[in-house]
Amino acid sequence: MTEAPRDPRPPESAEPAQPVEFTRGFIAFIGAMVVPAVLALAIFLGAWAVSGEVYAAEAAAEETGAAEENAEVAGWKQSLVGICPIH
Amino acid sequence: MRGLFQRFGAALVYVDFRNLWMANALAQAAAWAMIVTRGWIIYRDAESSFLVGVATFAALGPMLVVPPIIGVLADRLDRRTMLMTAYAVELTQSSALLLLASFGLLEVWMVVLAALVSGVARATALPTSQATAATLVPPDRLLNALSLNASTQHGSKLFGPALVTPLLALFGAPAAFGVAVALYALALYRMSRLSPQRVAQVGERQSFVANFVSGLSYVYSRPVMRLMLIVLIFHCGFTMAFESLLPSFSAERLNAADEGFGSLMMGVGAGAFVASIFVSGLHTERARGDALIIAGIMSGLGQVLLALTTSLVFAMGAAVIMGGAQAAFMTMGQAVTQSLAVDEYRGRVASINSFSLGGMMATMNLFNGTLAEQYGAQSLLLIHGLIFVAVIAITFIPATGRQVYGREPVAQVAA
Repeated sequence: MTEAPRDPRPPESAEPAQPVEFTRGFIAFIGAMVVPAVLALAIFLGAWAVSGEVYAAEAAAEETGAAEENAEVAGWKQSLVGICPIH
Repeated sequence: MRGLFQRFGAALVYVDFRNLWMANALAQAAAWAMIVTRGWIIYRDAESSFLVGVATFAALGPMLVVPPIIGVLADRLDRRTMLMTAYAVELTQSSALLLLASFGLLEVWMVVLAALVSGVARATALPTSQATAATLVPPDRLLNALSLNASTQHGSKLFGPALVTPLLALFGAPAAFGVAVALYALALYRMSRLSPQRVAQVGERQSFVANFVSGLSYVYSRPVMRLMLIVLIFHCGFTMAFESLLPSFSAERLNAADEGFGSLMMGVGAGAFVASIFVSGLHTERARGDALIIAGIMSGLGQVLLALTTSLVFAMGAAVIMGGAQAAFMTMGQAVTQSLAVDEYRGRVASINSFSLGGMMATMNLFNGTLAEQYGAQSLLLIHGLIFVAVIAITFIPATGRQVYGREPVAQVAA
């Protein structure tokens, strides 16, 4: 069987490190790479944090026969739980 | 037969890659076997779909957090040691579940905790394995190597659950955990046969954040790699974030609420498995470029086709096309980024891939689920598919785009 080949190019350790320049384009690129993952995590954790309050308010509203929309809990909390499919 | 092997399994003639590939295949099958078994136990004991969702998120969520750290480590440490550590952790957590289940001591919180531990180990292994594979074969076998690696991911979704589902029904959870333990043990053994990998020395004195940012800067300063990654992000956002749309699409459009979602997912999985093997047979830049364009267009059109179907049989056909095109596009896209990266940055390039693409898919899945209630799953599938076809057409116009699609040679950029 064939031996594993090594990278034919010169060792990268010999190459000088390039300084990072924070241009507008680079910052936008970082945003495009990082924001979706941070957003997904924030939605899940946020929904997890407020879901108890939202569910309790919904249960209370059902008991009293009121519409769920009238549950006394902030609209953004209801939306957050609504967006997250796990909650 | 020999000709087929040389075409589709060309990278497997390299001993180290063969060991890595077998270890990956075994560990991926074990991971999916564990996902099914954990879900089965939680639903049986807690009768809670919510807790099944939490366990699944615990297993997949670390893909959003761990890769930036792992990418830096994979460029500093011996990648074989990192992979062996990840598999040893998987073996330990699955063995613990096996023992606890055998003695009747297993509780739901333990299963969720094990899912989290497993998720971190898997988020370590996947980008590290991708970076390692790229160093074990010559550049002309890279697409073959990455396609074979990808085929283990898609194949494991079929084989892992197929192995444990009958065992769960006949003998219960301990038997299923036993299979996973055996698979992880074999994976660890195969990984131990891999030669120690060369460790890059640059960047050790920098902080993790500085190392990760320099990885981002490296990708950003290479126009072809940068454009490929941006197209892949669009691909993940507009064609691969479909899971949250399929349940309502199945119910409303196909009138198949019960069996529709599972059948469509099977179609996607089968298409992905076949396509990843097909892609492994492509050996030239031109063939790869042609296939990348076709896969990109079919990925969008497959989704449009799915949106237009009204019967489950035709929808499954569209799902096969969609799954196949998506898997082919992702595999070739990752091969492009890895083939352009120098070894010192491969860990970070792989981790940026995992992190940004996984993040985009998770976010779009979250929003799609909500948007589907307002606009309907069919409309979203249709519009998203057309948007991605437009993205392929637009990115073909600039010279960098033509380099991405193999129409012009890629200019060398100093590291």
